[in-house]
Amino acid sequence: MLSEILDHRLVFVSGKGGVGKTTTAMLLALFAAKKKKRTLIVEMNSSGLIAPLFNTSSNGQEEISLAPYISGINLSPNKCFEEYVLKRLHFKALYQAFFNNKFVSNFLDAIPGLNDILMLGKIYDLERQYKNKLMAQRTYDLVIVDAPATGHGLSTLEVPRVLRSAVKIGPLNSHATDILNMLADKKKTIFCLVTLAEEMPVNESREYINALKERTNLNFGPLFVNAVMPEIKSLSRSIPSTESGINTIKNYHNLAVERAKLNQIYIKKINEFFPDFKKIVLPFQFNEIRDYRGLIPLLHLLTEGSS
Amino acid sequence: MNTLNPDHHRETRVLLVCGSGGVGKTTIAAAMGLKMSLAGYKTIVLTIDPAKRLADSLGIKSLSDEPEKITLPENNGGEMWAMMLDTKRTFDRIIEKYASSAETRNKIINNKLYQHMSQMLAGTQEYMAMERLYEIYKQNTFDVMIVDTPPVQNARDFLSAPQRMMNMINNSMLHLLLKPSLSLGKSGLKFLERGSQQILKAFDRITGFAFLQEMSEMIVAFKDLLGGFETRASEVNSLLKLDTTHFVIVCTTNANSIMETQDFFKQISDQGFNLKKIIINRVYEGNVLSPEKIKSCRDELVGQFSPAEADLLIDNYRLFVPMIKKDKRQITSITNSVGNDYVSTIPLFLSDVHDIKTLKMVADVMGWLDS
Ligand SMILES: Nc1ncnc2c1ncn2[C@@H]1O[C@H](COP(=O)(O)OP(=O)(O)OP(=O)(O)O)[C@@H](O)[C@H]1O
Ligand SMILES: Nc1ncnc2c1ncn2[C@@H]1O[C@H](COP(=O)(O)OP(=O)(O)OP(=O)(O)O)[C@@H](O)[C@H]1O
Ligand SMILES: [Mg+2]
Ligand SMILES: [Mg+2]
Repeated sequence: MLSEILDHRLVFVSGKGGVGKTTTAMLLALFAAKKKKRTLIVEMNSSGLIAPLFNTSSNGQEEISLAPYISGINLSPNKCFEEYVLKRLHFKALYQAFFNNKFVSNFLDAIPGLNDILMLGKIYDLERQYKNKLMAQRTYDLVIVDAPATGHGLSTLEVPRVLRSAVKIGPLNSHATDILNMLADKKKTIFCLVTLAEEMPVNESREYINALKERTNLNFGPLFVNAVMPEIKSLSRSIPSTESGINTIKNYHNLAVERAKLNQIYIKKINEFFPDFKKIVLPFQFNEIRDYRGLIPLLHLLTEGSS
Repeated sequence: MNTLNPDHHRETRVLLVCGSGGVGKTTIAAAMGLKMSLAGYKTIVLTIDPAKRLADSLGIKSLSDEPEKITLPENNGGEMWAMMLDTKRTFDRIIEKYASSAETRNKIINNKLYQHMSQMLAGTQEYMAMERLYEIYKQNTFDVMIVDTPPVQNARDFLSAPQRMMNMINNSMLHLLLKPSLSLGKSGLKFLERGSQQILKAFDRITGFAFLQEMSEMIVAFKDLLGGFETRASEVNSLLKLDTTHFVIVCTTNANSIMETQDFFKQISDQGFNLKKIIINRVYEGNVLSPEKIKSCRDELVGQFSPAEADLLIDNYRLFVPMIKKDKRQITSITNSVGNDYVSTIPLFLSDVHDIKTLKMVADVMGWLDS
């Protein structure tokens, strides 16, 4: 199932806040690297969480090497803006007049969706970037985008479409059009949603997918159902409450049983709600994921499942 | 002193519940509302995007944008009300209210950018939440108001919302530069000073003139609302700084949630807002048992279960130990940096929280709210 994702050049990983987008994006990158694909993980205006997970750090918006075959970049809207402007303003004087004006920054702050469209534009460039001047080989075989959380307001992926309908002509319009073509290119681009098997994330994913399906024509890949509690046998009889040690053990038994049950209920719902999606279940990891090594058990699981 | 006792001096009138996405803001706001109403207060919860099952079981119809009364399981003289915030509607209503003429109003409402994107304007949702809060606050019909907020990537987005809104309208270059020139189209450029001309030219290449025109039209029309906005934003700001307005930050023990919370905490104290609590949600509670203790527990369990079942129980507990340890570590780290009084935890429950019964469970672990 994961190989289906690797057949593309650009993967967007999206979902509600805190469901495991960054984790899934990392997992995909590790998987691709195993297959010797030169992979770039893109964070969009985050506080730069991925580099530390590879025990490195990054400063500013630059492509850095994280592991064999894996690079990373954390996009900053300001930097994307600067690049975008420099590309279009060839006169230094013009450029300076522009950036040295304090009113300009207030104005830019106010343009709705500008940050999103600029960062998507940078992703457009990164995907097409060549390794060297010979232009024979792209820098990356695969670009994985750890997209911003969905929910509450318009999502990043919808910005280009809305912007294009609001502004009918001009550079922003053509910029938006380029990005829309990139997003709609089913050979190139695939969208993976991550959810938890719980009430809120499942409902939000449903609304999100329905909205996107209605308004766009995106290529959806498998749905990742993350942090699913493994099922555990229930006991022949209940545990009497005695002292604190036994109570703790009992509480965790109940927690495991009930959370697993809850997850299974929502997995059923997920199957009902998304009949035409492949689902990839990622089990809950009991060991804290401190860095990429914490993902190795999940990686093994996926590698077995895919061979 | 029981600060919640209506007979006493009322310490908290407004509680703002903030935090990053999915951490439990809506749940905790509703649970606090329930707790305060059961304590005898007339309480309202202003909520954003509650889980459908929670909204259904509370009986809040979506998008009504008006307070609705919730039936409580017991009656102590308090009342619980809830209202779902609809930012687009609040925005439209503000425009109705502050526009000096029907012409301005129509200009804004018909502006393409406004139609498509008013919800995307920086800080709008946050601003609108506060706007509605203020409206209801002024009506003075509730003892306590609890405000659920949209998720923010960082605290600045939330706390600076009124200011950013003002900046956009007030300080933006547009009404200084563009109003006369844009109405003349591109040819208007030659009447401008050189510097301004250059900036406009730059904009033409970057965003295009058409976009600029839409944008300036919207902002110029907004300028008409400025008087209203300005007064209101400063009123909202002073409401947020009252002694009786308190912030609650919700987070989980995940590394980045803790990081954001520390940043939020700093912002709140730096800007002179009052923090009530940092609530760490979904905590794996309980003790880390020593190997000897585990062994004695196993011996005791073997008396009641088969050895296989006893092992199942022990092994399961052992699986969770890293989570319990991690949570203890994170709670200690945040407590060390903000102080014991400001931290409280809520365990991960066996189920989701989406009806009065489960909300009551959450309310019951928030003892700090009634002392
Ligand atoms: N399968 C899993 N088992 C256990 N813990 C997990 C699992 N997947 C993710 N986590 C943990 O859950 C937390 C949130 O995951 P992650 O950061 O990937 O979510 P996210 O969707 O990127 O969040 P945000 O919306 O804040 O960017 C992290 O601490 C991560 O280590
Ligand atoms: N302590 C808890 N134990 C178990 N489930 C919980 C707990 N707290 C919250 N939940 C569940 O987590 C889900 C998300 O909670 P909630 O909607 O309150 O988050 P939120 O911060 O408001 O999210 P958003 O940022 O999307 O508005 C809900 O389904 C809720 O039932
Ligand atoms: Mg993330
Ligand atoms: Mg919420």
